Amino acid sequence: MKKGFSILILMLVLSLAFTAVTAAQDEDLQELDVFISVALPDYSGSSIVGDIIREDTGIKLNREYLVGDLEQKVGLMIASQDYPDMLVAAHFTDKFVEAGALIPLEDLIEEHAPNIKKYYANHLDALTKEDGHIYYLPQLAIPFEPAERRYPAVGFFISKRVLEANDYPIIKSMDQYFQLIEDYQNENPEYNEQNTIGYTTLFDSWRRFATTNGPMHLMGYPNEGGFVPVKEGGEYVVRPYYGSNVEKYYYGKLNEMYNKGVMDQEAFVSNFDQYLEKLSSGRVLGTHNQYWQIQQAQEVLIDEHPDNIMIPFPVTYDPIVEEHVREKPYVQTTQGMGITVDAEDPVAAIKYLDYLVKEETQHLLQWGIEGEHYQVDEDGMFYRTEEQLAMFQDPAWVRDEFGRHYYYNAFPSLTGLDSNGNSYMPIRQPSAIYANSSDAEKEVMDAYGVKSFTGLYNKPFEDRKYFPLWTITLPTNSEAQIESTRMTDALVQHIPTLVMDSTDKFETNWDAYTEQINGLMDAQIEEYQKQIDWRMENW
Amino acid sequence: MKRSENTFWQKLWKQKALVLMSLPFIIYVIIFKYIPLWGWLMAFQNYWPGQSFFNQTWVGLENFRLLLTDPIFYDVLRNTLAMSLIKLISGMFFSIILALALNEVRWTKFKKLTQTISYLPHFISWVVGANLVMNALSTDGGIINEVLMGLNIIDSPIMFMGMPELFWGIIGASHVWKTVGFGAILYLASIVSISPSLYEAAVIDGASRLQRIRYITLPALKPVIIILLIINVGRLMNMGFEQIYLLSNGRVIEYSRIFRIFELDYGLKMMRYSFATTAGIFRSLVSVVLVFSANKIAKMMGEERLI
Amino acid sequence: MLRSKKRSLEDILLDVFIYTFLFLLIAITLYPFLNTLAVSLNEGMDSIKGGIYLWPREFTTFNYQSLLTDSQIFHAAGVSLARTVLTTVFGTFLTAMLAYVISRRDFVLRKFITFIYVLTMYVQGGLIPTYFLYQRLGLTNNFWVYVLPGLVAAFNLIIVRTYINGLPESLIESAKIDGASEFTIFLKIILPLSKPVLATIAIFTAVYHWSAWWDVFLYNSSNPALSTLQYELMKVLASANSMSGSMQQGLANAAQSSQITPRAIRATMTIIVTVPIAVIYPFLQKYFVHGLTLGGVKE
Repeated sequence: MKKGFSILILMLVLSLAFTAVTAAQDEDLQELDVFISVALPDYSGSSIVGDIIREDTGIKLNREYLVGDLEQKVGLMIASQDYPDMLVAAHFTDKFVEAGALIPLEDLIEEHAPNIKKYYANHLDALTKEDGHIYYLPQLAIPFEPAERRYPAVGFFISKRVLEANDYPIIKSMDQYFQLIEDYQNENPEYNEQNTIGYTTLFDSWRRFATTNGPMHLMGYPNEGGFVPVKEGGEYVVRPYYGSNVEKYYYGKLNEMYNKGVMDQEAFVSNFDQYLEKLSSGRVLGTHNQYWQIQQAQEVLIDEHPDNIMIPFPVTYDPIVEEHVREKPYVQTTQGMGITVDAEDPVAAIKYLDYLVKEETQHLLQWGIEGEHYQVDEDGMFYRTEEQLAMFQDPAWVRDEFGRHYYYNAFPSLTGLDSNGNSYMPIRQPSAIYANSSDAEKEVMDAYGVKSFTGLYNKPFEDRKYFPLWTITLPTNSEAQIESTRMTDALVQHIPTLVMDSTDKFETNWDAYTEQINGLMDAQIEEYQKQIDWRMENW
Repeated sequence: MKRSENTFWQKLWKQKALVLMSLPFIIYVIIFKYIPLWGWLMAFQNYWPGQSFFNQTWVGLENFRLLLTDPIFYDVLRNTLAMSLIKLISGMFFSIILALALNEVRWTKFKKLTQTISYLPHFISWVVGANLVMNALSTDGGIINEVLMGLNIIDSPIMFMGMPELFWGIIGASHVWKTVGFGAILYLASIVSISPSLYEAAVIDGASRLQRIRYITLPALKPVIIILLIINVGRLMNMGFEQIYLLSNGRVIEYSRIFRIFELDYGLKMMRYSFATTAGIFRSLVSVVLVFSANKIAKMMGEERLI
Repeated sequence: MLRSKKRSLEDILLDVFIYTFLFLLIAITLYPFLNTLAVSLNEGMDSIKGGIYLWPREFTTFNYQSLLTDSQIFHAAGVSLARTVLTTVFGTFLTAMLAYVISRRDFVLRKFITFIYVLTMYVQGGLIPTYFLYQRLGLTNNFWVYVLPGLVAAFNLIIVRTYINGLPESLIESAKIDGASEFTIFLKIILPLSKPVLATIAIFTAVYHWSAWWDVFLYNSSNPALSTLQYELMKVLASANSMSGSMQQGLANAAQSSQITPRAIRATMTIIVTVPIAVIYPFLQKYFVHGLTLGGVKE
């Protein structure tokens, strides 16, 4: 009986506790509710930049960040027609437009948002939908020139050890790439008492594009997605690379390497964690991937196995191919932050966004406060001292104390170089890319005479207004959408076998694979073509 | 006819205390579980959440046709039922063995400790669990291959995760690992309530320990075993996908694709709500058929049953 | 305890089998937990290299610090505790009550009620209709959405009913003769005798509610005051995951090293959520691991 009593008391206390907290706290600030489809812990309510912004705008943001599945969240929000003042829903943002949840912004921008008008000027065409309205503002507009990066977006990576042993050769073709790896592995079968892995690849769930995008890049294209628009007589014609000769060559090569023991035997049955584990051990000589997927491993390598850092090359299937693997900087115009029909004060909302886009605000968010978080030299160029750099090395500090993420991630903002030639993003400040590289990175850059690894690549394609194809979303319930899912299923099923079976079965396996995917592309190509044409005409 | 009706109402009146005790529960279940079933109508539409329910396009049985004629539908069905059965049977079997074994341990501290430890994996999410399983089975220093090679059973490591014929076994084994302790709780609760006098009498009659397990403990567990079997037979289609999704790979996909993954990939992930609803209805129908068949069989065999 | 003095061969073999089985089981079920503990106490970037088994390599409490930062998480733990206690106490009691009612073989509505409950295990309305219902009932953005919908679960109901069915009917009969009301019979006879099975379903319920986050995501995500422990932890995990995901979009944090890695966060979460419930477990355990001393009632 006593026990029951104490439980009852406990319950009472608890229920009091959580009703108490729901009581309102804040002063007379105007509040804006916003749903943001990125994941972040809740904002603590105060931060270095946050306090300044709140002071300037008189607005308090109530942010809801995403935790579970976005598609379910979006479904429920649209079904219940219950929206916050502003929202951004990644690649589902267009679904809110379809559901009539977002209000047109062009008049609001014209009247109340001089900064958006100025800095988003390059993109307003691409943001205008077929009905002539603008519904949302993407994160990261490029108002002036784009900025360089230390690493290109994607490449065939090869260990510094291999390069060093061969006097830093320029690697152009896949044959050459694998020859270097194979020879080096034969001479150095072990590293740190573990077997050397010549080449590995990532095939874990959605991350598998690291493997399947290979042929597209071998053809010299940047990341377009599942298909490549090929320039034919002044027109961009959407073509498949799945099932192409280049793809056959690519998997044929991997198959050969697999059977020679050059390629990681377990690559296709491993997950992302295991992949990173292998890469960061320094025993892997090569892999193909987008840089951000191997970045964590690279950081471990820089710290602990600097001789084994991975260096990217724009490898093609044939050295005569002119590669443009490096991406033209683009703005993801198919998603962004919009203001909803439920917003009580749309003008306040657009003014708030306009304030964020202002160059001074952007410098505050990205660089900080002058003298405290960065310095300015006599030419007006921004830089950071060692101590200042160290502060920003701590991501928890940047997020929680400095507060950048809470006004920057998914909010309209600027990238590239500003009106004075400073990079909006400190890590892309031209003077910093080489200067802030590690010794091992500098050694490689020096050997090739470049100031960033992007320098190992050709210039990106010049024109191609539509770029890239993968930001096109296939309509819900369309034939193309179903084809695309079936295609993924087919890739998952066939590619491991193509690579892992014995070489004499490759032809048969290839036929089985192409037979299955050939019927799964027509509707996709048609849809993409339609959208590419529309983009070329209207952007 | 009239008389029996009379007796029904009379009985109901006589049992008004029980009726009163159960009435709130009837209202409760109807509100929370049956009202949302109107959503099944979505299966006959091309539901798009932006519009009101009655402005949707009605498509009749089109979604059912799409589902049943899907090229991978039967593969998916086979894998689902096979793996569910393996999980059901191996899971129950080992949980029962564990409960029986624990019951035979006289050293109370050890017994409690074992029981607590064995239920810990229940709290480890599959994301973490799958990593442990994959590392143990790896050809690159995985413990299983090391042991097998150490014992000279094999010469070179076996790629367990890449062998389609082993996939169902790996799923079964890892399922046992994760649920055996948690599952045993139910059986332990039933064993505790067996009267000690039964065991004492058996000992006097000279029954061995195995005989006591065979003739006293197991019969006492029978009702709960049968009930769980019936309940879970109905759940064969509903098998969770997390474990399988995380352990699966392209090499074994023909044996690892299950209904829930199929439903998710071709339904919700593409925001095809109607297709997802259709798949859900299909699962429900299969479940209901399975569970009532199992119940019927139990009834015919004179065993404890669900309803 | 009666025991034959001389241990037969069968007896010894049985013991050998039992202890081998149990020790093996301990090994394979304890290892993952210890491994998770070790990873949670190891520096996140270092864990990427793998090779952590039972002991951290670069010891740190950073992972715990980064998860248990603000008052928000403790508040959320309070909400989790509240929903767990409420649902477990009331849910178990109510389930037992209904189970008693449908265990009464002479009750005219027995089949009907059993049927409508059993069916709920196999037939569900789906996400959107359920959301609409809760919205109409005012349960969205409301603490009670954690408690009400899951109060009486069909599975638990059937388990308890099966157990009560196994109790001697004579107990009820004699109580009836003594003039006890139905509710008194339930309260004074059935409830105390059902302790083992009630402890079992209480554990099931408590474990579920303690680590629940899905309903927070669906119904209460816009109100931080209603967040639960697991939901708060999921937030940190999701943001650690998206640290790498957001790089794809070229976000600024791209080139910064992150000490918070998804793997370390997952391990730490597991420990944070598991430890409280593992600590409470032995207290409930006494109801069903008492060996033969409890004094059973089944005949």
